[in-house]
Amino acid sequence: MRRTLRIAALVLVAAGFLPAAAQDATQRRGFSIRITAPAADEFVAGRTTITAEVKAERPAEVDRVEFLVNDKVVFVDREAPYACVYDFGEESKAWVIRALAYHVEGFSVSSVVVTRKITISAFEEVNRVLLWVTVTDKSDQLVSALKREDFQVFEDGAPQEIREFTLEERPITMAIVLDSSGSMRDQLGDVHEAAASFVETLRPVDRAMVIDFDDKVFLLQDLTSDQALLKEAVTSTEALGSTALYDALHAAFRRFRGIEGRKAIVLLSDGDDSSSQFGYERILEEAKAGNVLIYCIGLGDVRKSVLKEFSETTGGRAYFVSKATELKETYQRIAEELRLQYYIAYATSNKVWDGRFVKLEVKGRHPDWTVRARKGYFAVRGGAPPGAAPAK
Amino acid sequence: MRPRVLAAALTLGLATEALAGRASEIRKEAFKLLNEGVAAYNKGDYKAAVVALSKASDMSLNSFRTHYFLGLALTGDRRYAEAVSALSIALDLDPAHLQANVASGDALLAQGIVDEASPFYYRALKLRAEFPPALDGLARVAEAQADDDKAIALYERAIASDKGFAAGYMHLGDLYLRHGRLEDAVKLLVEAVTIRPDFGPGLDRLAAAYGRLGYSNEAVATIRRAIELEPRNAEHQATLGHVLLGMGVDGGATAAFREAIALDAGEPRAHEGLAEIARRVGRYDDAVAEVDLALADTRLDRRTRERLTATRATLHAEKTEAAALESRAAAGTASTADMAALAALFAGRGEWSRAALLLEATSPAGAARERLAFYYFRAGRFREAHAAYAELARSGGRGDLEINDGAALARLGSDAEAIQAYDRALAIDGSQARALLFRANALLRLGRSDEAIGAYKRFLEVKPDGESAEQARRILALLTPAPAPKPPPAEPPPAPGKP
Repeated sequence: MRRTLRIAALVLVAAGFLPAAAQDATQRRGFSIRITAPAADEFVAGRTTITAEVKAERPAEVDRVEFLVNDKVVFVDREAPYACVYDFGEESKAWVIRALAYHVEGFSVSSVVVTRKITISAFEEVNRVLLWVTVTDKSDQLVSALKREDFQVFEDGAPQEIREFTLEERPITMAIVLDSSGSMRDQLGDVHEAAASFVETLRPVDRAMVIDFDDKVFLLQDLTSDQALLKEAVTSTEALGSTALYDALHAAFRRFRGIEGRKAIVLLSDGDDSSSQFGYERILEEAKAGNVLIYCIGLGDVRKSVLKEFSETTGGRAYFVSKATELKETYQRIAEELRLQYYIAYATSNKVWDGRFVKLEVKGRHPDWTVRARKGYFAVRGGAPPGAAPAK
Repeated sequence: MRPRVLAAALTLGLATEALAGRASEIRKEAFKLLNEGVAAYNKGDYKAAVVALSKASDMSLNSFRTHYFLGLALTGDRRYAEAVSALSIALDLDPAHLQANVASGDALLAQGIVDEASPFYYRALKLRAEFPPALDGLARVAEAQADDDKAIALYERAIASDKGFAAGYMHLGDLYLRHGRLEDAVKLLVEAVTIRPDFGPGLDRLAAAYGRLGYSNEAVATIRRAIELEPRNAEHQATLGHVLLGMGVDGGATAAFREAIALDAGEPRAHEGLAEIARRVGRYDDAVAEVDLALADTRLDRRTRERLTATRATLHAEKTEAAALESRAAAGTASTADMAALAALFAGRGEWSRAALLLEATSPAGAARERLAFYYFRAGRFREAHAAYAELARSGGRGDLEINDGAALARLGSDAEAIQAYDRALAIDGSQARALLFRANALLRLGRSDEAIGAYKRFLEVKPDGESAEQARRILALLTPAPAPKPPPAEPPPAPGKP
């Protein structure tokens, strides 16, 4: 599929704000070139159009434009608009894209763009996409005893064939992520109690880790089935510092890399992110890229839209409580949901692995049902990232 | 403590202190481990650094410094794939960190993943134009792609961008070393360690270059300095071993290689050194076993793996060839070509006397006789070496043969005759630096200092650069004492006092 990336505007904005040394265009006697698409740090895959803009006093001054990918010439264009289509393949990789404009007098100017590799922690198998689905009725009660025929799966609007269906009873791997920023001080006792009660709901086959965050993120307990260790960890947090919520989520995604099966993050926070090194967009991208259910509990006055977006994108759910005393009940509700989830594997009809986000929709047979599942996946082929060690 | 908290604590059966314990202990421990790891890394003790920083990175999940230094330490320990993973976390936390981008490129490049390495260097260059470590990285990418001209241009750009960028001098020096431009290499490596006297890798490479040039004392002194700075670095011990091996000190070399392996069981150059020692005495199976030990290390970079694999194949081929030749020689069925081949094989193992005996038996002429003269010389049979070189020089009219003859005569203690040989060489070509230097040395040994001074000056005119030139200058400085300093101006007469 031929895909034109339209990021020129972003490049122009970036160029205006970057220091001179960081701008990617070179200029000589009013003769300059700039790659307008793809943008720096964009993710590219599949057949992608590379475009460059050449500035010259007269168009006839431009002899030719060479496009190079990873230092290899892939196309020579002799007339405007300067563009070429290059197939970047199906894997997630970083690329160095260069464009060289040659003046008729023999000198040249160049522009460089380095694209980004995205970390896909859950690659789709060639013909199989995995989903964990939760169904509630009109009164928000979990719906049990459903069958394969009760569901329909759509990919970018096209119906898909469900190959496997079961009530999920296999072990789950969880990250219990607790906000311990300064604002949590007065509520820490209730938080400890509620989180400890949640730990008690784990089955002996389930495993969990505990991540504690303020402006720093610490792993208090690595994956274990030992409830005593988990309780010790969740009840040891101390309130201090600001809120690096996105960093904590990213850390949880990282710890999940290489782990198969159903995975869930259960996040508790009482405030908006205030000190993360990661941004919202990046974490949302990671949430889309990893098949991890995110359950968020917002305590008090939090920005609901952020937590809802993370949860809904992944097939989890966001809960909001005004008082810490309500936490225990909310944790219990999440535990119930995790115990009543359906596993669906379907054969995808997708033939194009070009890095786009493929939209998923799972519909229930009954119109009153609310069906929650992840919203899609990146169409990127699997495999370990080159040069990196297997995840822990 | 609020009643609810207390109740929760009691419910869980945990003491209040224990409740607060885990989180704060982990924070303190992570900080302590980070400091320990960085300190170990700075001392070149990469294994200890990896242990401490791995533990810290398992606790402190969003600490850039922890993951960054873990990546560097893993690279130091040649665990490149793991280094890439650690550095990718560091770069997630701070994508604009110049050195982390370069370090990621380096770890990928060491694995031979050239295409993946380049984007990191380019990204660093986009963050800071002409950033020397990024240009240096791209130069090494060009080297990996066998484009040495491009590599040299990039190294020169890196050095021009920062005259104090020691790694640039070192890598360019290394490239020249590979090209056999030894004196150019030494010049650059000396520059690298002059800029940074505590630059362990630079000292290591300089010692290797000195060793290849035959400047044994300088080589040993330089690598000892590197070891002093980084005592836990196995590569320095391996380099010491190779320097000693080049000097023929096999016992010392073996000890150094063993020390390197004690520090890092997979140190490939140490295993190669031990393999070479085994090969020199014909223990080919032991030699192959050493190479196999090196090849078993999963951390090997692609280039080293290729080199070791080639060495292994050569050892196998040489073992087979040696067995066949020796069997024919023992049975008395060896041809002249067989004997010459067997002699070359022994010469390659440093067994010069056996090589000379075998080649002698073939009554060689021409190029083979010249080879025999060399074997004589290396075997310490200087009288035979002189006879052969003199005869070859008379028939060939070649200056280099006259110089070799002079060298043999000098070893026999006949410096006067050696000077005559050098003069004959210079009559053929007056700009032969070796003849000029050896002649000056011979004059000095004969006590003809004034003539020696002139000869050294003539040598320096022809060859003003390089270690030999430096040695000549040192000798000249000793032979020509500095002129006496001018007397200070006389004290002005005291000003007349007031009446």
